[in-house]
Amino acid sequence: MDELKELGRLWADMPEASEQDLAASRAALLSRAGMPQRPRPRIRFRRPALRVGLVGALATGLSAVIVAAQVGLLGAGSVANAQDLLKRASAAAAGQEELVPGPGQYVHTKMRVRKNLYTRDKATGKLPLTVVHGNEERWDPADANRPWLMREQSYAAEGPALRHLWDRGVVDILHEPSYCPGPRAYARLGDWPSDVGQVRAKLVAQVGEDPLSQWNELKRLVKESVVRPSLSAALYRVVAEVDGIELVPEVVDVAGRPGMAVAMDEGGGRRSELIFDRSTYRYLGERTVNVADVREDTPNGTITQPKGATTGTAVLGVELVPSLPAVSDKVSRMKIPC
Amino acid sequence: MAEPATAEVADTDLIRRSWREPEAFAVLFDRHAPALHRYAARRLGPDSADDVVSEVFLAAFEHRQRYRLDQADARPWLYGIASNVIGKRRRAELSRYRAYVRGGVDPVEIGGGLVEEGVGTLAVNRPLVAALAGLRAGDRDALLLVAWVGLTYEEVAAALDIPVGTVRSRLNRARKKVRQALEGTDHG
Repeated sequence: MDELKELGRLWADMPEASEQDLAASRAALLSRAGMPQRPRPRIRFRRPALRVGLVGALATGLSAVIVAAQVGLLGAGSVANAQDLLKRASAAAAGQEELVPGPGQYVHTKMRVRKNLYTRDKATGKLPLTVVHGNEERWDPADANRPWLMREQSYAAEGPALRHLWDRGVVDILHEPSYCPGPRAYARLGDWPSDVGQVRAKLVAQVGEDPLSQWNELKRLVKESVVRPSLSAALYRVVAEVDGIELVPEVVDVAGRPGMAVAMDEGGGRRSELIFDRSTYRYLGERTVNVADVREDTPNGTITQPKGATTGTAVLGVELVPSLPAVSDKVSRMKIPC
Repeated sequence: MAEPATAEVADTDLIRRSWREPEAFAVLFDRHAPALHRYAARRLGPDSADDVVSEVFLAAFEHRQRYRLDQADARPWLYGIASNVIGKRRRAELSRYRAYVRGGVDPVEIGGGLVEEGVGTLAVNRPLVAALAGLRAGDRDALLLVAWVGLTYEEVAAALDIPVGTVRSRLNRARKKVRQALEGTDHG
């Protein structure tokens, strides 16, 4: 007797969910992601998933140790190429003060973000683009067993989307502590070595030798490692070895600050960039720029992004704080169980 | 209704794209949610499956930056999250199985008008479901990911974040129990 086959027959006539069955789940996802939504056939918000009422307001207070260390000009003369810029950025990061949170403290990161939003034009059925500008803050615990908070607020938009589609006020998402899928940036990156060779080996073990995969993983790590400059310093050295990087001498980050960038052509009309301050070589942020018109087919229809369209994040500040701030009374709670 | 052009895009590319274009994640939802819903419905019933799908995809979206880009197929990742989400509802799952063993029909499905199963089917299904109810939670997760989702041992290992050797031992143990139940030597 083949027990797996018998098991396979058990309730095998259970149908896959229809579009209507999934409408509420899909709407919840799209709403969370700020995506355009299909006309909803009949949506039952049986349970406002993961939404709960007010939790006890958490004490707020700042003991600011702002890491805005100005690093002096590193080497005179113009930057020769991407590798040269990364070398200077590495030296700048190595000179930054390392954040060492005490027990119970949080690393508070402030960012400016620029995102794309598509909404359906009822008259034409098209999905025109609206560019949304916002602020994002994160409170990462030093200790993996504590909750962490993400706070978003959009403050401006360019495009046809109605305000209520992009402005939801202050959105707090409180993530419960959990083992899975792992601790937040500070706790996780604390395990990374700061030796260049070891960082390279760890990267290759994770994503292999493909330059684009390495670049994408490094971009993510660089963005997270603002909480740990010694690791940033090593990461920039590893980025310098990735095939296909190039220097873009004049760029502006999504917060409007001028800088210079190390960039990679990702194909498909897109170029992604790591942006550094022109004089201190400190990391400012990352962005992705369309270098040609990009058309994409999605289940919602075809979207077109014009040449020059840009998304990205800019780091405005990193500091240590003693606790989470008070959260909004409409806070969402997210728990990844394990 | 996936467009042919996007249907060929690997999950890993969709997730990477969703880092800067969140709407790409909707394609992942459309691709995997129907089957994931069915899997959850077989374990918990259709109503709970709606909640499981919501929770799985919200969690996956939130943590998409952590996705291992060397995994072209997102199913192990998604079903791993689903296993955890279903695990939180273990009591409901066991109640469902036990109700079936007692009455031969899922109480959740009575109202939905599901046709009662034939006597021959029941004779096989009752001991099967009783055996499922008697398995350790981790063994049941591994077994059902193979039997109902069709994951390989390596994919189950990735989904549950355990070594492949542990998957083998869990499956051996679970299959033995189910076999004994079907042969009438163990009624769970």
